Amino acid sequence: MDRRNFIKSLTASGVLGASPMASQAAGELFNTGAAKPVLIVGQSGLPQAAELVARLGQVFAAAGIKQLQVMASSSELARYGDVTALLDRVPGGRVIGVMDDAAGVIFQELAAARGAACVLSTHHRFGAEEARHCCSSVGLESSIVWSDPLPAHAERISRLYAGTLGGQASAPGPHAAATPGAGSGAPASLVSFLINT
Amino acid sequence: MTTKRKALPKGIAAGEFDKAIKELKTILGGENVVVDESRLAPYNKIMMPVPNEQHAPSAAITPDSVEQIQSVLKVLNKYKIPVYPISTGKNLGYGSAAPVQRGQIVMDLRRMNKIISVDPDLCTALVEPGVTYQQLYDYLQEKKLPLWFSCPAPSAIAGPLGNMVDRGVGYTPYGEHFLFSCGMEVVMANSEVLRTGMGSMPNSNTWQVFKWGYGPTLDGIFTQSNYGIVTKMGMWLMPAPPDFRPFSIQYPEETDITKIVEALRPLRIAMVIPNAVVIAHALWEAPCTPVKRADYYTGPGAIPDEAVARIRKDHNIGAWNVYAALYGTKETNDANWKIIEAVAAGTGGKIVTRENSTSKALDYRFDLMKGKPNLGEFGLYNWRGGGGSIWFAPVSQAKGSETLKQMKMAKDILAKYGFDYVGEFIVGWRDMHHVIDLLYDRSDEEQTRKANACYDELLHTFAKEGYGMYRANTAFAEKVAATYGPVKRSVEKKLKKALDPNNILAPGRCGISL
Repeated sequence: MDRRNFIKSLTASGVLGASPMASQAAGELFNTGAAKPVLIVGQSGLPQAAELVARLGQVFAAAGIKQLQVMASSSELARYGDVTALLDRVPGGRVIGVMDDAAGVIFQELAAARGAACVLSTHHRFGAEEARHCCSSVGLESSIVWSDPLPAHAERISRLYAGTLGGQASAPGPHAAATPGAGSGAPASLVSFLINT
Repeated sequence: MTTKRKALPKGIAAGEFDKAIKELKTILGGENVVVDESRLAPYNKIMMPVPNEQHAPSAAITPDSVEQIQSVLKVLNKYKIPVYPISTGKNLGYGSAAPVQRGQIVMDLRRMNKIISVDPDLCTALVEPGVTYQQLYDYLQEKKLPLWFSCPAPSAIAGPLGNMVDRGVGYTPYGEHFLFSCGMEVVMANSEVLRTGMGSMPNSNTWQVFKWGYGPTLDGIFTQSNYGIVTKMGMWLMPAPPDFRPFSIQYPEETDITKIVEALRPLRIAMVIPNAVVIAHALWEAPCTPVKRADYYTGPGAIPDEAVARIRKDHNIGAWNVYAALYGTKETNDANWKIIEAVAAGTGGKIVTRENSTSKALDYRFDLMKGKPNLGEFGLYNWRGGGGSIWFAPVSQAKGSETLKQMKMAKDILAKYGFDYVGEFIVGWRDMHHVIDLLYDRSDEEQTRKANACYDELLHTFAKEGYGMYRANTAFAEKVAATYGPVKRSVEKKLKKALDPNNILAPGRCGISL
């Protein structure tokens, strides 16, 4: 299964993360440092980021993927020393970031400067009723775009990351309690990504 | 058996490419020759509004010495495979680490990251390409050396050599970085090693203090070009002044820009204000304050002036926000401060200092003016959501009349494509760089297409009026080079043919190729 089909299978409704083939492919493609816990770095102060981090935690736990979660402020994610300290926590492992666009660029560029590769990246735009996701991955010539209704958006993207990490897909628990779009009510934007450090 | 690869250098068969890769692995070691797609991800394009495949690298190599680069070039000449050298590859809005043409091998020089020397008496440094501003800052702090350098806004992750070679600018009195460089070491395409200026002379100890040497000065041809690989650079450092007095002056109207420039230019030329004066528009200031666009406007098209006015009122931001500083002793700065106060009063500006502001934008600007690296300006990427950015940077005379004309031209074209005017003027000694950050959602195909078309129209409209770019995004290198006319390009091509007859050094960079 090539990467495009793999990602498509994960983003297609109903089969997300449930395909043994997808898990196998994920293992072949991204399974480096699998014994180490995945570090999930979320940006505090962003309700959508908190919701996605919480859901990632639940889905990863159900899939048997070990994890560490850290919430960092926008100031911390804009400081060279703080970001490099986060990357130092997972040498040879995997990091998932969930943050705003500025922090996302800084984090990915600092990781790249150490030779770490971002293998999956997704932009999320939150409207009043739905979230639009645009996923780029190594091996995809073009991005894949899809939308989910807000109550369910964190579910699918969490399963995408779980599947990409090669975890065993199983029924996830209930949704996280955070309210999408809470805060100013204005449309919001986030980026999430997976880096092999 | 050949390996199936997605991107190959133009005109190179897979079998030949594999043979070259094998030889490169012998020179550099397997771990320093990357062909695996997932490990090539850091070298993919980021801020270019074009499809990924146009700038996809075929491989990346990470040499750690001049000798390795010399050996690599011999292999690449043999197979006629092009290489795209980068130092840190972080000039984001001007392109990032991705090669100018699909299939080029990225030569990442980040492992060559030694601060070779710092002379605290002569205030000079000699650095390799992989040294970052943060690394140099930490070094000076650790050694307790009272020396400053000038750095650009993405300073913590960028490096002085790459920025100088790209003719970048910063915010201290040493802000015109090429002007304050002194001596280069360059590996030529034929593997010869040239040291410019006094560096050519055996046993000379003046490489980092006298720029010119004897005969033609060659340094300039290795900036914004592809005639050699710069592996060392001398740079002048600034003694930390006894008194540093940064300030901002806020102005209430967009039309105030004319009188601002007219009032500040004489102070800049006379070096009362010795650093590049930044005049930032409200919408450059807002995202770094930080303010989110979506909190004020979610409709179609560019943000209306009425919404900008509300942002300014709510967050105490000027229509234009001047940043500059005084550097000297307390006595000289006290004297010059009276001039600044008089200029502000005479032009209707309000002086803002750290004591009377809590703005994050003010903090990062003040740090940049003393060469303290930070990442504050990345806040711009949050303005629109989707994090796309291309810097459009025409040069003009430092005259007030030029500013309004350029701003109106830019604003009209940006609005046509639904983008906001996010700009600043950086007043040099007699010129201005008008830097416009064309912010778009790079996850949105339509906006990406529009960003491309918008940049294209900006470029050609400004060129018609005689305004050329001082730097350009890699994706537009060829188009920008074309605006400078055929004779310049013909001479550049002749130089290329003489210095790199196999066209292996970054063909296409700044529009130069055989």
